[in-house]
Amino acid sequence: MIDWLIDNLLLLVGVAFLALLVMAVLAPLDSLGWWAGWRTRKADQQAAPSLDPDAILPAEAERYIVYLSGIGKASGRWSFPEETDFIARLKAELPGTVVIDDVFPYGTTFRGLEEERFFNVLWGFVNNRLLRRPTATVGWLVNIRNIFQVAVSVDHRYGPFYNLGAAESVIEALQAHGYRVGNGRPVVMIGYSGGAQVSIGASTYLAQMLAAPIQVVTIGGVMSADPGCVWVQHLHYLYGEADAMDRIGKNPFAGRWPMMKQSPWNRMLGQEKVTVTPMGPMAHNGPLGYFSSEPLPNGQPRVEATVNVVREAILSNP
Amino acid sequence: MADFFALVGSALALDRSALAVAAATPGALAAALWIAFLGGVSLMLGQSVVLFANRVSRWRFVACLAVAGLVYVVGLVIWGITIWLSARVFGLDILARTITFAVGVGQAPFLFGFFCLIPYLGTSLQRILAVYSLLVVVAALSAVLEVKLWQAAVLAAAGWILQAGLSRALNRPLAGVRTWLWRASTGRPTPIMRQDALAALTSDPR
Repeated sequence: MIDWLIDNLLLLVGVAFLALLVMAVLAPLDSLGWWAGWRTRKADQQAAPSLDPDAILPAEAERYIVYLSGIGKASGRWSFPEETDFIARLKAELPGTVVIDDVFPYGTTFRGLEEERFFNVLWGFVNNRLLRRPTATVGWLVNIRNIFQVAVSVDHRYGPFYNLGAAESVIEALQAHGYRVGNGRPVVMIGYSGGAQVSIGASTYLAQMLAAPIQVVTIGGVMSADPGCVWVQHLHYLYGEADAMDRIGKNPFAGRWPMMKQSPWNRMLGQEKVTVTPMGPMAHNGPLGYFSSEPLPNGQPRVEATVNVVREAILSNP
Repeated sequence: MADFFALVGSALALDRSALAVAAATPGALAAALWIAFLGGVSLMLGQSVVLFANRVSRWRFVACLAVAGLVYVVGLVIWGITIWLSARVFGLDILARTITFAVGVGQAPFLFGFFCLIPYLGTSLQRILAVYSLLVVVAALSAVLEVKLWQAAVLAAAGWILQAGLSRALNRPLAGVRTWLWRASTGRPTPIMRQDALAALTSDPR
């Protein structure tokens, strides 16, 4: 009986490992296929409407913020309830500001895992399960898949293409909300967890294609010393003392080690372009996470404290 | 087919006695060359970002993999010849095909070269596979030539140095061949580095 269990357990571990390898190997193909012209983005498939000078465009807002969610994000079409609450509170605190939260940072040619080309039946199922119950266990599959997309963004071979695709998605979303490219209006990227890496990676292209200053606010951010650091005007780094991901997340990236003095990250630190803000006893996610309504020792809900710090960070930008 | 996989297994396990036996069987050289070809194809797949960056079409992509496999085999045969020449210098009288067999099976680790596609870890994996492959070549040379491991390592190194010297000397005359191969397989005039491609794209603000 024990032998049978061990045999089958080993088989299961073997199958899981194989699935992980397949996922990892396929991870760069979406963005590379898009660059090579093998795949088109959903937005590109629709014929571009001719620019009518008399067409009524949405009014340009005072400020534009793009929120990129963490690796648990399954689709740009819906958000986890606690993030929806965070965005709603942030909008209320920053009148005249457009806050965009429907960009999917973990895919180049699609806006949600329900449109994923490899194993789309599986991802459609996972997406539906998460829609019904955001804390469903299958969410781990999304986490693993999206970790590989963050790795694609970090990788010096694939990152340039992936991050360009992410920048295009952000620009499309900005334009849909009235942003006029060329006006030079600053854009604030808020990156939570793995969304921080995509925010910084995309900054290389956003800064050049929009010809505008790009500011970044990271919340529990997992990010490398991406070349995009050079293009970020200022970065606000928010971390919780109980956030294990913050501690673990910086170690794999050599460019973030203090000894690598010339890395883009350390140069950005040296130029005092980074403001580090400790967030108190906050965890990466869950009941003690940045977006939780659980109160801090001072009685303030965690999400409220996060919104206040993010608001101050954004308003302190030039 | 079973023999082919057995040969791959022996190579990956650095099993010198099994490799010595396999080298004496008919079809051993062909199997070794197939391992080298497939290893070259797999490695090219792992490094295929260069093809994607140059916007190679799907059919050209497949053609490039095949061409890369062939070029890889040609390179290995040249390495085999330089090892054979080095062996002659050391007074060893052996068949060039025996050495080509050893060099060919040594590429067995590169059958997993497509795993170099894995983001972030892929480049390190490629280095690990290269070291692994070198170890298999040395073990196979030691097995087929019936020499000690260090002697096989010296032969492999001597052959490699000779090949590197040749490659440097022929760099200019071969440049035209390389360009022709690139054009014929990809349909693109010259390889574009990804930085160039992206710089051109972002130079104009939208």
